[in-house]
Amino acid sequence: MKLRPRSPLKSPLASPPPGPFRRSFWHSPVRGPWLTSMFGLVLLASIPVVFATGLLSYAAYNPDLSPVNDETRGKGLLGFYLFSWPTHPVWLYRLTQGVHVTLGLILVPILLFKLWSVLPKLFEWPPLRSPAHALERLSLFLLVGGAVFEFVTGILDIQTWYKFPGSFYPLHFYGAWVFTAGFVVHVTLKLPVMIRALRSRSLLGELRTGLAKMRPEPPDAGYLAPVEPAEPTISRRGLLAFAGAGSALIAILAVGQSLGGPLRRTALLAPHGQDVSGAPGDFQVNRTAASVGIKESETGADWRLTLVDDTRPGHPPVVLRRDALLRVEQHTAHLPIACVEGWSTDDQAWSGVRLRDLARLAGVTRPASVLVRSLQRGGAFSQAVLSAGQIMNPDSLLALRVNGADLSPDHGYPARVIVPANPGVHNTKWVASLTFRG
Amino acid sequence: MISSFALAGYAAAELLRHNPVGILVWLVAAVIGHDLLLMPLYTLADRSVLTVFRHRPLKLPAGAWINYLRVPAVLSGMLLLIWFPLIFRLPTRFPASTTLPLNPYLWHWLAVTGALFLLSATALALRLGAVRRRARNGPAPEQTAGPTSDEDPGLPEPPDRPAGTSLPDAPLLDVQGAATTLYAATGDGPAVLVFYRGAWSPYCRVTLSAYQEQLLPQLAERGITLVAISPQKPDGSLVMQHEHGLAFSVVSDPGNTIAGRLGLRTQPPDECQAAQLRLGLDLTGVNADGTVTLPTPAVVILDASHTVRWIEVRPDYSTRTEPQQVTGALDHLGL
Repeated sequence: MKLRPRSPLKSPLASPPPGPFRRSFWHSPVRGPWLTSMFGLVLLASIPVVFATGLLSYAAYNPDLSPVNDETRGKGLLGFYLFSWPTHPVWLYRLTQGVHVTLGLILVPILLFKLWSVLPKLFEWPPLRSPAHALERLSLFLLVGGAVFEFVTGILDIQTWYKFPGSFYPLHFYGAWVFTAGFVVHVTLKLPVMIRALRSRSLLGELRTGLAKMRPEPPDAGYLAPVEPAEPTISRRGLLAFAGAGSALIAILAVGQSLGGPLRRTALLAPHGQDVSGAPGDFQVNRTAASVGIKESETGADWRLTLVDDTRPGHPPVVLRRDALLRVEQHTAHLPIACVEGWSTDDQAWSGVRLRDLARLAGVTRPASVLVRSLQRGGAFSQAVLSAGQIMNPDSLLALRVNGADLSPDHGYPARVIVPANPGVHNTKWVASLTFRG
Repeated sequence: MISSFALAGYAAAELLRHNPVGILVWLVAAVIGHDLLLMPLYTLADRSVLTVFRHRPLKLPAGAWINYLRVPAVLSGMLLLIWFPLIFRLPTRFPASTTLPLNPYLWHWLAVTGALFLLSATALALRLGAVRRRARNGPAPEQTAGPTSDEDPGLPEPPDRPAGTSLPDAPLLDVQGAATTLYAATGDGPAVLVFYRGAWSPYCRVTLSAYQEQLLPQLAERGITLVAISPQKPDGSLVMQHEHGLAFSVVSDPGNTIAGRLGLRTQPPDECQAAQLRLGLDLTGVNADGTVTLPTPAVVILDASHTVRWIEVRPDYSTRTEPQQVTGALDHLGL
């Protein structure tokens, strides 16, 4: 028996049209404010971490050091937080970017379940009750649209399937701010509601309540609670476990590509979850020499490294052959490669000439920055600028050999830059010249 | 809120400079595409499977079965949703750039899907085995008086308290305020007890009215007494009986003694009490014991020896037990 005493005060115009606009259309017996608040709590804790690691990822490129490093040149005030990216610990970028991508992937089931749990509110009636209500709905448009935009652009980018309306970097950066603005408004408005809903039932009690004993949240708990619930087929704790299982599965199948080593192959569906075939001591490749058009004639015996002293314009550059470089004092550093796509390698044993020694060779005693140019023509990362801190670090090398052998062509032969805590694309391969600035 | 919108506006302005139409299409598609395309598809698929399962004679309620299908399907679907570019080999430059082949991803996904379904099927087989073992060994001794959910999927899902509790006699007040007892109200044969909150509750009034019209005749045919019990003062019972022309016993149980024996005592939450006071309803004045304690609405079937044979509890006060449910239960119990 369904009992709904009619309120004499309700205007006939306020009656919602049939279909999903009516609260009675939604039959799921597990939906309700408490369930939504549980998913909301997980997102509340995790999204700031994803956002922060994302901001750090942009900072890691040292975009304020030079426009060459900045893929998002119109950022303006949104770059207020930028700082000079450190060089220690050597695994810093590996950690921040690994967390950003892996946590983002893990949140996909939570996000999907949360959207499912609030679906009735997309159709709430009347659609615009007041200006304040309209503002709230606008913030939700930014939140949901922004979230899906961010997750989709990120997930497509890590699989190198670049089907976006523009370049990934600015899209993902600005989209993050739009999403975050919606997120802040949403949390501000809904935090009291969430806390009240979470307090309305005990978590331990819910975890002990199986399907037989579960009862739907009562209609007066909130709009999301069902007024005509169907027979339950899963309990609330079952649904939470379901979402958790989804996240755990995704985590298990992705984290191997960031941890590397023997665990790499557990990342069955991740882009860098396979071992490279090749000699032992070989490791993941981001772009092969052939794929960026490096010709063997350029990297052979005719290759020269040009060191330019920009503090003395007109001063002739120092030009070195590869065997001359090998005769300069060599140093070995154990450094990983960490990519913006979230995957990384373990520490490899790089050996080559310290960047600060090359600065001295060029005649620059206190370099402020260096412009590294690659043999690669075109492409976003055929050049990069490194900071003073990065040049002076004793582990920053122009590497000539790795893991006891010469660099392979795919790893940047004849020479590549390797700097601790650097994003992978700034460890320029197939280096042609270094221009030091004072 | 203003600064957040300002921030969004600033970022959005920059974003839109790049490809405004493309980006707006993406945003709108994101919000609507998921909610209006994918969501109905999932729901349709889920409901279709549920319908199929409901019609098969199973030892488990359809609800439990469906999860052994739902969970692996949804998990596999989520993996596909995330990794479909690699699985369907869409980024064509990937092998040339990374030296890694695109071939394995489809097989890996199929293998993971297969493993998920296999795990689920194993878990279901184990659970069915346990159910069959329990059914073979007979029901637990303290429940000989009542059916269990494993053996009788035809009955509605029974509640928390075991059937088989025997109710001792308890003092009650009739509509005139005269003392009576539970056993006197129920008489010699089986009885149906309806625990309701009070004449002040529109839901209770509609319920008892409906029972008068639809349930009472059926009970009379079977020789079963109907008794409505509430914690009100006898005045309230009188009002209830007269206003709706109730031809069955309407009694008062001061302090909810009988409801308490069945674990049905409850109190409205503070906001509810405040709302009631604002509407002019003071439960402490309405209830015979002067408290705000109420029974959770419930219907109980007692046999001739006053043993509980069936009970349905409705914590959601806006829905009540249907007359057909009561008669269905009586049929099943053979009363």
